[in-house]
Amino acid sequence: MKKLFALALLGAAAGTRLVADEGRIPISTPTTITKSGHYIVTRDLFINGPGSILAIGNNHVTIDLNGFSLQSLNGTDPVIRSLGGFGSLTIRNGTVEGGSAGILFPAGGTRVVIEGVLVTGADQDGIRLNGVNDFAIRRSIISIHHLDGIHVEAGNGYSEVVGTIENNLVEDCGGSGIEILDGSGVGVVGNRIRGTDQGIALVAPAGCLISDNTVVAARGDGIFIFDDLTRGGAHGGNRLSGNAVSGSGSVGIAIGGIETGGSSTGNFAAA
Amino acid sequence: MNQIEDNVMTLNGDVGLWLGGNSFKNVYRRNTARGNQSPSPCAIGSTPDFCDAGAKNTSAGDNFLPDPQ
Repeated sequence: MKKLFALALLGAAAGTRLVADEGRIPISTPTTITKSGHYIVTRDLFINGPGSILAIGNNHVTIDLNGFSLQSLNGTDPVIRSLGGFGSLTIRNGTVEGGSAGILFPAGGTRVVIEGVLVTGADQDGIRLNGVNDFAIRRSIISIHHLDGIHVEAGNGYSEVVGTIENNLVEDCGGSGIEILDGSGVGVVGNRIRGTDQGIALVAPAGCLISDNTVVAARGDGIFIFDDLTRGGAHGGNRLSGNAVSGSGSVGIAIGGIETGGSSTGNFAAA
Repeated sequence: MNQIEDNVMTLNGDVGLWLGGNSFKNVYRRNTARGNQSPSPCAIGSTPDFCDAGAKNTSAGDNFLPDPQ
């Protein structure tokens, strides 16, 4: 009996130690994260009403979706969102489905990493970062969104954004596959894009690298780099190399038109 | 003032590589464009595969941008 009790204690201790050692905090319901830490989703989560499934309200947060799915039928709130300009945030390893956006950072932030995520079925953009600097979006699948697959833009001051978008598959979006406004030193590398409006759209970029991407069957231009009269930005110092653009409805690679429509896609008038 | 090199543009519905009227001092080299279909010439000397409507864009002449219009 004593032996059984000791074994039970050992088992319980081991279970506790597993969580404590890895320092991960389990998430099993829609949650607003208010403390820094390493969180792990422990089941599929679903929401059919207002609000996000995960809202991030602090710095230094890592969310491991642990292969599970977050699904929202609510078209007015994003599935995952940041509640402010927080920094050092990582989202990885799972599925994000539905919502107004899949993942939304509406108001700044720094050092944001999104990796190994399937983002699908948003009513607007799949992933949208507004005013986020030092971001990385990599090794993810972004598909079937009404607007852009990945949309990155500077904040209200039209400052610049820095980051990297690499090795993603982006497909079947109503807007651009990847759209970046006011990128400075952004890398867009090794992405595969198919069935979007514009494939890769950069408005007023400076010092950006657009390399080794494949764009197939864009309905508009495959890759375009434009100035933006509204935002007062001009492009320059960018490098486009090793891209393959095929079967676009319009131009393969277009450099040096003028955007007049701000953040929208396709509203340009060539000078 | 961008650098555009080693890109491949094929079978697009408009010009393969388009340097628009607001492009300036770009360098383009070793690009390949083939089978693109510009519906109308965009500038003097343009082809279905290539159009330079900008200013002072330069190449070392090592692009493959055929099909004169």
